[in-house]
Amino acid sequence: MPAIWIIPALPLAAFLIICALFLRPARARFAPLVLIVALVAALALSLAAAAGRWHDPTHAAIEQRVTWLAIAPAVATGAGGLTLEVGALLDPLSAIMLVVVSLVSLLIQIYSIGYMHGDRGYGRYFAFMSLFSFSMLGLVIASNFLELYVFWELVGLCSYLLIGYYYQTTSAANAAKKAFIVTRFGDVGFLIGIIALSYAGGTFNFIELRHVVEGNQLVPFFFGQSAFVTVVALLIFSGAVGKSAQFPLHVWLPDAMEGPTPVSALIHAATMVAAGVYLVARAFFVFQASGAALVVVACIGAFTAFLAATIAVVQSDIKRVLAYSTISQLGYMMLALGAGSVAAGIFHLTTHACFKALLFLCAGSVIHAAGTNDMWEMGGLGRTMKWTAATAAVGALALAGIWPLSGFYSKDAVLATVATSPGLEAALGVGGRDLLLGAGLVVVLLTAFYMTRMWAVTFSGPARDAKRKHAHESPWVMLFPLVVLAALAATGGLLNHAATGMAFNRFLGAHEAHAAHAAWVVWASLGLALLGIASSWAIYGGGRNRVAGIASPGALAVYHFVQHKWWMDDFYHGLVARGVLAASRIFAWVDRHVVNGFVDGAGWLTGVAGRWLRQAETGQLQLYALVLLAAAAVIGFALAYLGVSLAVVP
Amino acid sequence: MMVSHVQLSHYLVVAALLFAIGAFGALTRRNAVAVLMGVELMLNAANLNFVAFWRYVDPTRLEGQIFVLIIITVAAAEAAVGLALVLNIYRNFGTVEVDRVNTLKG
Amino acid sequence: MTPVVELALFAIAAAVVLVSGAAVVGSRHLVRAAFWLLPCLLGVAGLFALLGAYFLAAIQVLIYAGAIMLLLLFVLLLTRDIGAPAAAAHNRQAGWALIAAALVAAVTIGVALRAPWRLALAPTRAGTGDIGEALLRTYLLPFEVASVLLLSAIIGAIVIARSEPGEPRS
Repeated sequence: MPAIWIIPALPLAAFLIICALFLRPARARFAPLVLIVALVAALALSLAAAAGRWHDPTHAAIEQRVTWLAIAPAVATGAGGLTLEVGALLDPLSAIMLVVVSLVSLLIQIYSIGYMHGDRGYGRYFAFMSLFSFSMLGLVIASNFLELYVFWELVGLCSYLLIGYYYQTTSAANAAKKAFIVTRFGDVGFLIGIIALSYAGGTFNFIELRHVVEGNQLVPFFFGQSAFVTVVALLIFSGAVGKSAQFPLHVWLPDAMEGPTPVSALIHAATMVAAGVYLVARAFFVFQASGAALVVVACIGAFTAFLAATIAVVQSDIKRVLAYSTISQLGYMMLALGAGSVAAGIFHLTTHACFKALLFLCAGSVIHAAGTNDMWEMGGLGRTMKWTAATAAVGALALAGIWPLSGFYSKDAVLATVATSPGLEAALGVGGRDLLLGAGLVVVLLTAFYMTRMWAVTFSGPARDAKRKHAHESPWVMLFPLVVLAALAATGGLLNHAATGMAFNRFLGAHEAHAAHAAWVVWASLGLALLGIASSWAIYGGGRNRVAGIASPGALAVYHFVQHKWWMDDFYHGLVARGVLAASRIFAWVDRHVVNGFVDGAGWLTGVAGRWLRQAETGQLQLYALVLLAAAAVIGFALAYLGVSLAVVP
Repeated sequence: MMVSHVQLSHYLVVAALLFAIGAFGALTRRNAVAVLMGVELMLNAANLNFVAFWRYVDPTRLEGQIFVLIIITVAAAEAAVGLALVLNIYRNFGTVEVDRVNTLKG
Repeated sequence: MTPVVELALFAIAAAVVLVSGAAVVGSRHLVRAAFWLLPCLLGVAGLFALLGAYFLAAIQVLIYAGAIMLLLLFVLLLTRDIGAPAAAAHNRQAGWALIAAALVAAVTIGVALRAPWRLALAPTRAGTGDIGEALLRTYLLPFEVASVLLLSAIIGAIVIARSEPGEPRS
């Protein structure tokens, strides 16, 4: 088994080479080649690694680790030492993630060659993209919490750099800042959770911690055993909430659409935002040890899915529709994990990566061709961009969950898990579990609705803008990835099909090889999806908008509420932004008056003391002589009567 | 051996008082020459101390008297130079009042 | 000389010294102050004589009462503030100086009265010849150094006190 770390090292090498040689515009056109070569190699190695794990009958995990820093325990007090390691962990979960990340990355980089063509920062783009690939691949093979956190922050950095790619635009710069700051809130909790957990468990390593937790050997240092585990799990989950844009830290993702569309496709749809889901899966043993944490995960996931789906329905920016859709689907994955199935969540992650990336790339093509993000300025593009329209349709139907596309199977897995989840039933009762299930089903309806709306407004009917009538199809370098992704989106269901014996689930070692199955859920979700498509087509099909004239106050109120993103951004602005500003004004005052006052006061004091002391410098020699005499008298007195001695030796 | 009513301490007391008087004068008089007069008184007090000690402690050793001779010599030299300085000050400042010679002030 | 006579002579000499010393220091009239210096110095010479240091007493009269006092008088007369209003004789720190001087005196007198001096009142043997011999033998170095000091003082005083060319002679 060769070194696993080579897989992320390849894009890292690409990053260094691009930075060294290919940043200047003159030579930048070679930059993507470097990265693509690296990614092809990484993909090949990932497939090989996955195959290796697949053929291993026990699907055992391989770990390669190196001690980075070892601080010995204190001999005197016996206080524990600290060992920091760097390692690579290859098990079915990380193998799947490796393949997904490298494959989607590769396809998107190929697409980018066409999309970013002619841009001044071409070299910079591919440099950051290779850094991101390195970070993401490193994240999925990290073998301990601390290492994962390092890569976690690295992907956050790359996200910041790429969102702010068009940094000359204020909105892009602000969006990058917002992304970084909002996820920071989550990351703080995450770090505290890591430290608490590893302090109680004695190690950062995943496999070792798993043994500790499952063997009930955690040494909690606050609360009791179960409360401690719950708090730690929730702290770790807060990192996932930030990174995977769950409520209430979801507000950064729609703004992140300021970045170039391939960036949105790769980072904010397929991979980085999935890191939160991966984290929960990786740390699942912690969540399992605390039933309450899993329920929280499920509830937040369900609520996020619902919230985002409602907002997606009223967006007119094509990328925003997809952004909210991503948030919603991530909520689905969290719901699956919370309901107790890692396999269902990861399966949905895998299929989602394919069709969401596909949809984003199609959106990119459309934006590129029409010169605008606003769907209502497009229309009728299906006529001139046939390939794009067709692949987009495949992606949309997959997302909506229509048989036999991959989304159907993965969504079914999620809903079935919720419907039959013993954990949810135990914690929330049958009613509570059914509520979550109901939310999931409503989201199916909404998802189908808004996806159809998006496709219809963009591609169907006559062209709304005369200028855009002649939007042309993309070059083959951009179409090729679309086709590949569409094929994957279509056939991905086979991974977890009866035909392959639920291969995916078996690979992940899911106890649910028997697979949760509730027949009525399947029919219900399919029916709702079709209903959504039909109703949406009825309103928007052919490029019209038949609800434009509705003026009922109730409907308008709902519309208003949803259009303002449930007023969350305004809430944050008021609370955090204004709150922070108010506090900072106080601190500024303190700095100006108190701190400066100290410094100025010290100077003033010195001046005053100097002026006062200067009075001794009268220039009158007789005064000096008087002082001398008086001092001599005092010394004489001390020597003579007080027993003071001038002797050096006592 | 003569029994004397006058003890060493009497001479020392006189010398101490003379010294104090001289010190007061040196510190207090406003005329530069008067200050020098005070200094002379102090020197005399010291001389008196020396001679008294010579006489009462060990008259066979001459250090006491020799020292006094040297002191007188030095006093003479000091008076000469000091008074020359006073003349110079008078020429430069127009006065020999010590209060007014305070360019070191500040 | 009987002890009583000696005591009386001491008392008189001491009184002369101290009273005229106070007058030197306290007198507002400068020339008078200088003249009061004379009895003071002569009184000290008398005390020297009482102590048996006859040579020193003679030297005291010669040098101090003779030369130095004369010098003081000369300079006093040369540096008169003509037409200047009668200013105070003592400066503003007279009170503090008094206290300080009194303190010094008190400390010294206290020590003088209380210390257990080891005394030997042997008859004096030192005559002028002995002193001269000592100066040229045992104490040759201080003697020579003192000569050099006098020489430099003379030169220094001349240099300092002479008038610059062009300046009116004072």
